[in-house]
Amino acid sequence: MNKIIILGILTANIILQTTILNFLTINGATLNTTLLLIIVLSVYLKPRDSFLYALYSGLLLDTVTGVFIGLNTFIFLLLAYAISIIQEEIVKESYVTPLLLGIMSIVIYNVFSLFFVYLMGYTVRFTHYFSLNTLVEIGYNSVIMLLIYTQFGKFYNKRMKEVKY
Amino acid sequence: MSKPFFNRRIAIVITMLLILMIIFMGITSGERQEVSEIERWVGNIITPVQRAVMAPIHAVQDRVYDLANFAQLNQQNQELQEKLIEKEQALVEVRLSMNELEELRGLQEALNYIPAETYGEPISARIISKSNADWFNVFTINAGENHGIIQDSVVLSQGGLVGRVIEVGDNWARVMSISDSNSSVSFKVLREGNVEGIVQGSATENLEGYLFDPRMEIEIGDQLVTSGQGIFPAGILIGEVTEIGKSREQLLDAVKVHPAVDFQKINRVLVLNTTDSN
Repeated sequence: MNKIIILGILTANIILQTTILNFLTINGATLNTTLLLIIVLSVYLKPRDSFLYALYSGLLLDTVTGVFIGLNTFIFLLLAYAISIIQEEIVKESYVTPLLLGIMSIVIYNVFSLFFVYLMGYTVRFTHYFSLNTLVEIGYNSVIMLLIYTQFGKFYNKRMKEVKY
Repeated sequence: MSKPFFNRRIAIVITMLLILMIIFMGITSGERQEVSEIERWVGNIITPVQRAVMAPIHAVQDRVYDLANFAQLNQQNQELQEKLIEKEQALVEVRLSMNELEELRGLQEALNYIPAETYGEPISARIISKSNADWFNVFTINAGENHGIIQDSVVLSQGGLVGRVIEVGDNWARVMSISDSNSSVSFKVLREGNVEGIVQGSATENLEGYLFDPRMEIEIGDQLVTSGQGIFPAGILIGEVTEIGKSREQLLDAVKVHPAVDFQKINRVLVLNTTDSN
């Protein structure tokens, strides 16, 4: 797929995530669609491409919303790399895969964010993040992950067939 | 043959990038006097798009708000008229006190004492984006340096204190709300001006804080206003006390405060520049 189109989609997604998607909260839990997109792209695309998208999205999201730069980029790159290592073992057709990846990515994102925010000297209330809210966030993002994953999968497979013939 | 080499090379590049990100975090964390040119440039490109995306939402919000509140307006009108009569009576008493205040001001000038803060014209702005991470309660507004906003400008809304400006771009500024765990505001009780303390944002929607002097009395329902210590000018409504207890050390009276501003619903804010005349 054309790199520029994907970069455009990622940019549009970041704009939506920081504006409209803030209104679609469940019990305060928000969607992290950029993270979900990076995971989906890392599962389907070449590692080198997915690293580029992780780097671009992370830096843009950090610049647009972050109190400090590097946090999102670090986590996106790390997750893209981790998925690139296990990419060949992933059962792409299973519906369990996106759910597991959704849960895993949100947990890793939260753990690393908490760690770095704490490390950078900001106040963190740890107890809050081991509450019902976090479970809602994991569930909410996993369901959306399932949607993004299946739709992208269909599109990707169709595109691959077109390229073959 | 080439795959392990490729993997190793990729691993090295990724590791270097990760280390670079940690260095970036270290450099950019904490209070910065100015945003970098790249951040300013990206902000100048992205914020107009965010503003355009939010424009229809703001329009709908305004209409829905007007419609939803129409039924309450008559009742509010009557209540306000009654309050107005009460306030007019109170005004007479205040005027008497003002005379005393004028005398004190005269004395202040005579002693060559300069007031700590002066405020410029308030700048009206709208919220165009929010950070959706839990760790920070930070949002972006559609006014910046070109509108006269500076770092540490005070941000208010209809209800009361919202927060302070932490980063400024040309036509945008980033605001850290008082509900952020990293914000702290010194307060005094409106009912009893000498009862003072400090509140901080918490992980919940409420603020948490304590009194400086545990011997002082505070009650549930007391309204808290800024005390004037720190960057926030005195007298801005912070919220209402909802719970009183002992702090973990059992030495200080801990308070839970429901903020006057509904941070989930605000979309319009006022920015005040507090410039030190000294």
